[in-house]
Amino acid sequence: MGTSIGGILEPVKTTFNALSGKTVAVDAYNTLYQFLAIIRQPDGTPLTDSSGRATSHLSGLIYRTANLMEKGIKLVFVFDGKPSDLKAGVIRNRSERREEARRRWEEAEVPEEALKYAKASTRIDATIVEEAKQLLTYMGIPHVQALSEGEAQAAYMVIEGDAEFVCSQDYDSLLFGAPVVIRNLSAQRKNTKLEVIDLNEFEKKRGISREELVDLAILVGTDFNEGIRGVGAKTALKLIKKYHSIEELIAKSKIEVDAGIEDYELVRDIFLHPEVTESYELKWVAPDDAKVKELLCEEHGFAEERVSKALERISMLKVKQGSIEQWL
Amino acid sequence: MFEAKIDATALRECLETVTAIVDEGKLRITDEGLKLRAVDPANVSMISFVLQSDAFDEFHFSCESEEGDNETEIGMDFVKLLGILGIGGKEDIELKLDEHAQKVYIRMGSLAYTHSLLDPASLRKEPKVPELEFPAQVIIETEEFRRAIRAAEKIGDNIVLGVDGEEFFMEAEGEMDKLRLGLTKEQLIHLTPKTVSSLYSLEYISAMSKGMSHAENITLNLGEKYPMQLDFELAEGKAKISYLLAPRIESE
Repeated sequence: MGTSIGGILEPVKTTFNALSGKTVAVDAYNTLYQFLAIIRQPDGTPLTDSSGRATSHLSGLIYRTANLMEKGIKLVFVFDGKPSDLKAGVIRNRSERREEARRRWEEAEVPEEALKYAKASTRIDATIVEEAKQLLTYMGIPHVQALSEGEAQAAYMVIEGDAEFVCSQDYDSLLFGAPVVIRNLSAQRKNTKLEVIDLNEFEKKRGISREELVDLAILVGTDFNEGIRGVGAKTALKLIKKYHSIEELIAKSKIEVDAGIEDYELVRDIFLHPEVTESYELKWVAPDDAKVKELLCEEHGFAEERVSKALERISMLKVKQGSIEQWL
Repeated sequence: MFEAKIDATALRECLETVTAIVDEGKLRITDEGLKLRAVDPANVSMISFVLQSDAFDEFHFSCESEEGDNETEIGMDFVKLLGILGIGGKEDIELKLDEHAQKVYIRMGSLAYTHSLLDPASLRKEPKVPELEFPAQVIIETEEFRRAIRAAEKIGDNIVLGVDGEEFFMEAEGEMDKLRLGLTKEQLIHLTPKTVSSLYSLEYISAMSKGMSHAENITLNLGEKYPMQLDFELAEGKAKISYLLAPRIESE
């Protein structure tokens, strides 16, 4: 889910044109999760093939990725590796919530209600991940396997200059040091605007460093700790601006260390010194049309005509004219 | 109040550089001369244009606006104006602005032309001044540059402009053929040694290259997958034109 510090960040609107020609490191799990949650039939059931296997993720990958690539945006998908022990706690918690949602979905009668619970019951299993990786390979789009957190790896790739942006719906990659994060890249709805959050701008404007931002997020709660009950992003910002670190905060304020932040040193270390790999290769090649069709059309019953069109859009995009506006 | 007199050829040549980018636009009249900055309808290129007041034989301007910004902005149909100027001969051209009537009176010898101004509010806003830094600069004879462009037009739609060490190159690739112009530092007027290249649309460069034909040499400012800025002067150095062109982005 990521940390809930959205309230104090001030995203700036951007356009697809401004991203043309840029490389975007996509948080793969986050994006697949979105595809599975959003791409559904009106009654809330996920897209499935004739044998009942989920296909929302594949549909999202081929059609939405084609849209982005057609605009000249180069994508690289970064997959999570082994979750850290601390995160395991959250994951356990999340599966419980998902089970609860699934039960309610089955009980719910009204489609709207059903859709709400259905979305919350989305789960990514190993098959979905493997299929996604396979499809990306066939589409000629690179993917990178992170050692641990995908967002940390994506952030590292931007810091190294191999990509220009991290794309994720949550803000954790900022904590991992990603200079610029884009949100809503794969959202389809017209009213969802592309947003960019610039870490440098944020640091300048709010006058706090990345280290302080990490401490702030720990107070609010992250994937690795629950945070202090009742402390939201705005309160945490005030506290950090006053005390600058959790150590100082504990020493000088009335706030006590409770279970929600007891592991703060460990959590801080995860964000500031994440495990990342240097061995990755970013290479975009022409899609293997036959393989893509074999997987999507033969295996999962996708309409061949639509898949062909998407493939055409992916391979047609050899040269795109840039807009002068992005330089003004 | 604006009244001026200028050599017909100089004005025509200047207008040609503008119509390479836009058909119509906002022209600013100031003490220093005529200025324009405009982006083409497809947002791919931009022109910054200044025709200094000393390029005119006579130049009288006093601002009538109450805002005290010392300039008057008028909307003009450059294509139409150029069409009329093309018919006129080599006599000096006299210009007179009637701001209240929103007209410019143009006299070319015995020919009198009344040009109705466009409502500036109906025209695109002037673009921001770009803040770009170019790692490489090349100064080249205009004819050399134009020749390479003309050859490239026969082959493809795009052209690569770049600097490879001490060589400036232009490269076009068609489906079957390939064309390359390579000039060493010695063959150029100036070159910053660097390694950069970018791809551009020939359509835009061709249009620009017509406008620059009367300039002796041109300055190319280049970068890696970056816009190109192309500067030159007309009217004996008293007209300064600068084109900016966004690159085409090639995905691997």
